[in-house]
Amino acid sequence: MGIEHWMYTLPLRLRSLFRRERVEAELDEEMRYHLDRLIEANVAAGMSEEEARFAALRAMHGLEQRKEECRDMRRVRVIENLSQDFRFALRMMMKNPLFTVVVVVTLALSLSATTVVFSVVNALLLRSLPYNNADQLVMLWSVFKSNNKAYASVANFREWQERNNSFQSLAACDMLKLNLTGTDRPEVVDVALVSANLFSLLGVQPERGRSFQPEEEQPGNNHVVVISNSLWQSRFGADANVLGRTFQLDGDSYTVIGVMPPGFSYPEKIDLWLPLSFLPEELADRGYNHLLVVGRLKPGVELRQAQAEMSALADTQARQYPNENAGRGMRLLTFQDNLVGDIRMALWVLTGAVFFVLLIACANVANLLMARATTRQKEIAIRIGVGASRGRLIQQLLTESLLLSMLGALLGLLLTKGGIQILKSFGPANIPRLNEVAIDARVLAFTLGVSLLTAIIFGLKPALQTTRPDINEWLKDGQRTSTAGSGFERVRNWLVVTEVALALILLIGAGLLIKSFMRLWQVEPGFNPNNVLTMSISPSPPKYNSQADVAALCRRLLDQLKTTPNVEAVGVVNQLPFSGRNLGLNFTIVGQPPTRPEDTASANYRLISPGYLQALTIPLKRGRDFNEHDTRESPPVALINEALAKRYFPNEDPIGKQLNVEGQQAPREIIGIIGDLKQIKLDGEVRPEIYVPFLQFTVFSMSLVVRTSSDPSSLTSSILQQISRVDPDQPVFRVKTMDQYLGESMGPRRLSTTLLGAFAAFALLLAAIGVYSVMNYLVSQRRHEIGIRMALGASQREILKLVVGQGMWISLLGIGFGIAAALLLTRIMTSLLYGITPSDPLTYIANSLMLLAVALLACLIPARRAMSVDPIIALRYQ
Amino acid sequence: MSKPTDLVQGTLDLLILKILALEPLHGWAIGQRLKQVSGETLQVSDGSLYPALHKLEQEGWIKAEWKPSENNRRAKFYTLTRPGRKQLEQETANWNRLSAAISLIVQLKEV
Repeated sequence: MGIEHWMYTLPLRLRSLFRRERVEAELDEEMRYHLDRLIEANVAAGMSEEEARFAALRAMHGLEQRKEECRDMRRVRVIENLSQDFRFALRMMMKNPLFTVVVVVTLALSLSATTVVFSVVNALLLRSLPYNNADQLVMLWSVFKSNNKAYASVANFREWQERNNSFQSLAACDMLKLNLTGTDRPEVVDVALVSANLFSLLGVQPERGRSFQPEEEQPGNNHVVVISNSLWQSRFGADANVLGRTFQLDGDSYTVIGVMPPGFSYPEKIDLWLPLSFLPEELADRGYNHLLVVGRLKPGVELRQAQAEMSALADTQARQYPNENAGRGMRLLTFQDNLVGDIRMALWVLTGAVFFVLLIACANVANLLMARATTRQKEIAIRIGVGASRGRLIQQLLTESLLLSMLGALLGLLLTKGGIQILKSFGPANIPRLNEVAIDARVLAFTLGVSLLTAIIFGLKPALQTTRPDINEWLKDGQRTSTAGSGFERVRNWLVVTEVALALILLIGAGLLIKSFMRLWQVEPGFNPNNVLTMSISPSPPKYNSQADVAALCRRLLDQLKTTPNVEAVGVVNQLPFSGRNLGLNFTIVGQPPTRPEDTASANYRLISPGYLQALTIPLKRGRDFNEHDTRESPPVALINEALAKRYFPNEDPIGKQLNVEGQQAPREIIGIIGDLKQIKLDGEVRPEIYVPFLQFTVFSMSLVVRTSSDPSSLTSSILQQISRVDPDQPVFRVKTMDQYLGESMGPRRLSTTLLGAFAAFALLLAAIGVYSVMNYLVSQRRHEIGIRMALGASQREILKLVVGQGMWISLLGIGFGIAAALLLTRIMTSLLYGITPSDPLTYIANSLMLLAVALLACLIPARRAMSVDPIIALRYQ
Repeated sequence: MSKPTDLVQGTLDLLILKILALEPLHGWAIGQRLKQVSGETLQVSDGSLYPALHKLEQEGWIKAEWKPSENNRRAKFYTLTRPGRKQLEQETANWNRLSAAISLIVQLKEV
């Protein structure tokens, strides 16, 4: 069919659709012309006028049928019917505004819940990352002991680079904070030191200027910087001549060579990138594992192959360098998996949950449609009686469903927009890509598809039921409504059973999550997080050039803060609990060298000041705390936690024993044992820990911990004032209460728990409406019967029992199915639970009872109506 | 009255196209021409002509135009279009193949 074909036919189709009256008139005229000529001919042949007309009509074999055949040739029948059906459906909807509103709102709420969850799934799991061929990008994690996302050492990384066949290229990053000066105000910036090839590996180039050259990885050539778009805007006022400008980072001067495009930030939120360069003595270092390694697979190389190759390489390295590499493995993760690994499960559970909600909503709407169908049964029976085909009737009924679900989808999309806004502003910041959630083409297509499907799910059964062929029986039956409804009643009862079952699954799922959440909140982190304010500093050259300088600054800060009103205790530490940062080091016990290299013990390593334990109220179990006299001049000492004591000194007293810590010359004497505390998350394990006095060992980035006697956030400004009194040029960052850190660590869990809880509540409401509408309908259908019963002396109590009994029977059946299904389904979410089994009996019983209670309530209203039936009126009504 | 021979499926289309290839005609005239040419052998019922015409029009093979007719009333005249001419060639070829094959079979000698 060429264009020429459409040239002739398209205008005809349009004409048939939009000039229908004209086309009809022409059809009429054409047929009349023929008829008249036929009559003329007949008259000419000698017939009377009347005979001639009659014969002519007979020759046409039914004028109207012929016309109908001609209309069928127009090929726009489907559209014509559809528009007719839509007009009819609209009229029906306007006639029953309450029905329409209830259905549309039910659908809108459930469709928008579904769409919100899908848009999150879309942004986090389906939409590819903003890199060229993002599926080739892989993170290479060193696996070490329980840490399956450990960083790599310089020498290991360089060997991976040289000895692999799977990757086009590998790049390394190291992240740190530096003080930026030389523009208007001092500021701490997030810096990534990156291999020169990182940007080309990711497939992202600077928007202005250039990225790094390989020779800029050489020490001495490396004072060039690529800045992020947001830093360019905030610090340089989007200056078009920014290239070539210089500024100071920790006292060294750097020249801007490039500005990245907006939105680009890698590996996390980064303000600027510097070339990663290694001093000659660093090149062979395997002891310090600090590099994040990324790679781009060669085309055609599968992740599995690369994983196999790199694992083999890691094994070789472990044999070659047992001292540093024994026990190290390799774990390859795609960028996508690396980003959303932990929340993938929660997302799928939520997706399942919203589909359950949607199904319940469908069941409810189907229920309402059925209830209405009974009142329309007579209309439909008559239509069938006069020859309407079943298919045509089903098409019309489905059109009504479609219109309802489209309206629901439209309203639902508006709600979705709001829902996404709420999610973005209240959602936890530590869920990756949450800010990218939006209604895009895929989400729109999804909503459209789901609402179409929904219309079929909730509309088909009522349509089939209403138009079933034995409908004529109904006509004979006259107004005896009770028998005709029996088929409906059965279907509707089963719908409600399904609703109750689905709602119970959701309630139990949500109940399990809520209980886990509460259990988790009750977990003692090992310290008291209330009333603790924390902040970080990163003292840097030229003002602070040595460990001693930093230690001196910390000492002055501690002294200053101690005297601040409402401050109960202060301390410093290199890494705060729950800040997401954790330094682990290997150690050996003096006198007990490990028999095999892979037995090397590792522990969290913390540098603290006297007062840190008090500030976080970490209990000192035995021995003594650090004091002002534990300095560089005094013997090296350490505190250990109980976990380390239990594991490495099971049958002896650790106090007085000595530890050799990785990278330190002299052994440290254990002088005390402190309580265990969680460092990463509440449901994490407790690791062995070693604490060292900061006066003996300091790093350049420290956090202050201040215990206050009242709400710490109200003291923030006065504490910051005290700090600036010590050094007005020292920027302070990450000012947060300990409670905030704890809350953030629970953020994703809180979100999924809240969402599932909300879905379950909505499901409960829908199920209650379902039970109510079925019982209400039942009562109105059985009015007559109830009247007779009462006339025969049934008490109100018995009537109540009749109605409530039926409702409870339906609910109990639903609860039975729900429990069975929940036992199977909740197993999937085991990894999301904490301190509770997926078949926790209490959760099952409590939720079943709650559902039963709600169902009972939903039955009571119709039951009261039944009790108030006046037998005389009910009987006369017949 | 013997029933007119039922037309082989689709043959009516061919006949209409062929007749319209000669000159534009309205429905009544097409019917008359059919009777005239085939000499009562092929009788197309007055009614069934129009659905066929409308179908051909919707296919784009013929196009319609209202013009005054021989009795001074306006009538709907149908004309063959370019795609229609192509269709006619194709259907004519089909018909020749089909009828040749059928007559071959019919002429088989019974032994």
